[in-house]
Amino acid sequence: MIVGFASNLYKKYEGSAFEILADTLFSALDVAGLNKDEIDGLFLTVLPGTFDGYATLHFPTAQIAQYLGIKPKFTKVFDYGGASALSMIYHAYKAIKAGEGDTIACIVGGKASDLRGKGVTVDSVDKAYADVSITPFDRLFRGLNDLNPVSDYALVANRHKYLFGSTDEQRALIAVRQRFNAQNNDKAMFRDPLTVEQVLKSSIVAEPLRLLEIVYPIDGFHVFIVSKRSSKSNLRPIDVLAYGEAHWTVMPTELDDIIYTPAVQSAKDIFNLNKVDAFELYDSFTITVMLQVEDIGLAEKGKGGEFFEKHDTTYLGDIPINTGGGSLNTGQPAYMSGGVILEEALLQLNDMAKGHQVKDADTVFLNGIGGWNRAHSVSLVLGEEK
Amino acid sequence: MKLEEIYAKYDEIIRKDSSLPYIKCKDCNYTFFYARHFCPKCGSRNIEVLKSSGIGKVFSWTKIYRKGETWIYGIVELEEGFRVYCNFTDNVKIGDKVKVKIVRNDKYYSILASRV
Ligand SMILES: [Zn+2]
Repeated sequence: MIVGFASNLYKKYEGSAFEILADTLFSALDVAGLNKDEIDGLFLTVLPGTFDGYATLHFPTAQIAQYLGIKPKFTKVFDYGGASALSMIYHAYKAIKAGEGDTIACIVGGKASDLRGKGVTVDSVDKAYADVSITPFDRLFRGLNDLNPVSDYALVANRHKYLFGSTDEQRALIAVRQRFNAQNNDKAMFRDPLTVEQVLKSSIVAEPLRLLEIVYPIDGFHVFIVSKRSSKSNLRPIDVLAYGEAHWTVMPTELDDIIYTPAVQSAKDIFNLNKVDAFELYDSFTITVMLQVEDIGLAEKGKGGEFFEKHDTTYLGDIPINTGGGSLNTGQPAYMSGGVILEEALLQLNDMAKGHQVKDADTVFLNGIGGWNRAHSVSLVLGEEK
Repeated sequence: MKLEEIYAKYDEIIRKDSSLPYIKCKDCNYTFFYARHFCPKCGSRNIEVLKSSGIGKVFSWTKIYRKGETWIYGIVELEEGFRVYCNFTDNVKIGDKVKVKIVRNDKYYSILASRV
């Protein structure tokens, strides 16, 4: 039922986020063979500070519908950050199956350069705009110098090293494999071959995480059209084979330990991983990928590093992971990589991943992570219902 | 207790000698720092605001390099059982013993941990 999709990614776009959004939507509708007046539902996500430099949009779905000139029957904002894109697809399928509408446009993205230009990260957005609430505990939490979310994942990586003996080399290997996959991906911004030594020599941003282990925030949108009208679309009829979501919205200091993500819960027993041809895992940082490999059940907790030593995770390998190079190589539109991994999954399933196609890819497992300090996880399995 | 009363007690403890306040549930003994007017574990309203010894261990840390500056940030687990985010004044390793101080700057509080 995903009948169209498109993306437009820029290191820095000189212009409005509304322009990129509309252009991407029209490209996705072209693929679908539909027009904008057929859109019944509008699903989107926005992160503070990533829409034309505004801290927030007042009534975001209405503003976006106004610009597009559409009158949807229903609209919904998903605020799971990087996990939003995957959640939208599932909820769009459900809405269509329930007869609430025929066509739903799912939109993810924005302009990261607006925040990047202010020298802050997305979870330190309060340093760029006054009166943005980050947690219910701002009084006790702010006033601290961090560099969220880099610092958050750095704390996790250091604790993972301490508890399990995972190494900087093992994390570097994740970046190296993904770069191999990116070499022939025309969506990728970084395509030169990369070695473990080069990763380890790149400058430390937050110990132990180095520059080449961290996504580069960019401008751009991904749009996915979910519709039961597919006569003009050439895309394969892909279904949602399994789904799980989990929201661990506690303060990370109050978790049993910080080395678990909510993927432990969202991915629990949802699908037989042996039947999966490719994995698209959220890759904001190398450590994020290592954590998911453990939390979705590809490796035991603590053995994620060894997993990458044992398995070839390139698109040619025995367990292909982030087959297009992931957002570590395409850049991360508006600090949310969900669209990047979802688009790659659809390219794989439609045999459209030129230069990085997994042979006979019929089933793809995706996991999105997002929100403040890894609060949300969405697991999704896409394939043809047999 | 209302949330504002909890913050008032926090302020009183902090103002006195930069000691770290925390909350203990009198029903299930769960301890926490990030203030709520009930116990997030068992839901009880039977809670009390206490003063921590400030002694704890490094739970995790990171050294951040940014525009020529460095600073050390992380999490401490206090001996009363709860954890807080803080900035470290020294180079630390996980497990190192530290002492935590907290001060109020205008609206926000800053937490600093030093090796002991
Ligand atoms: Zn309790």
